[in-house]
Amino acid sequence: MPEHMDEIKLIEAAKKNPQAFEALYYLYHDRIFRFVWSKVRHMETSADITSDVFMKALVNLTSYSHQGFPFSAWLFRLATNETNIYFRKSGKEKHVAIHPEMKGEWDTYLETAESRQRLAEVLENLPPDDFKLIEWRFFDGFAFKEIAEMESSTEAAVKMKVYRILDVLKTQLIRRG
Amino acid sequence: MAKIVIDDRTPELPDDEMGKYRDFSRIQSRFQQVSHGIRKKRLNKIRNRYWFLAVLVILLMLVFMLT
Repeated sequence: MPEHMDEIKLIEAAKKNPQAFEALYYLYHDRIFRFVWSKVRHMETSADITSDVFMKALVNLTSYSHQGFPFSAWLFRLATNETNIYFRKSGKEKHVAIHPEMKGEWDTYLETAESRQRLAEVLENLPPDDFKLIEWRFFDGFAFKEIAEMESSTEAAVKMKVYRILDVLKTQLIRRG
Repeated sequence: MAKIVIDDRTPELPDDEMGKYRDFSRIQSRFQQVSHGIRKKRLNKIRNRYWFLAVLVILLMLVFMLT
């Protein structure tokens, strides 16, 4: 039986009985924790945010409908929202690092502390939805297909959006020298 | 948006540390509290609705009696 069929069965079971959510929790806990930790870099805070993510997933599970995307895409979207709320409320700095597989494209912007600072400033000025796409792709290292699943969109549409945002970013970086 | 700092690389997360926080009972107890709250709210909503309807009926009866 395909893996996603098992997942659908687990989701349907959890809708009827919250105890059945346990299997989904243990299936995805580590991936979500790791994702949150890569942004927050603090164990207790990551644990709290991860707990909030699963809590929200469980509370809203009845309204979740499977549309052909993996359940993890929904969880990552919730995790992104929760970490954004954390940073907004705490006013803390958000530490990010270009994903090792994406480094080639960004080398020129990462050479010196000044160029990194310039890139950070340009990123801060992006609309939140645009930053989210750049973050998923270049800092978290998600494939376009995975981002499309998180956005409930198509791979081609996401690719187009990301390249458009990159153009804007590059223009702004050139303008800043 | 939060202030962004670009690091060279993301530090490694210690796997054994993460295991300490893997606990479904925590989610379960929080969920029970929340669902209890939601049920209570729903009950209050219904109760308020019944009170509103009762007052409306009494008012209508008074209006009919006076006219």
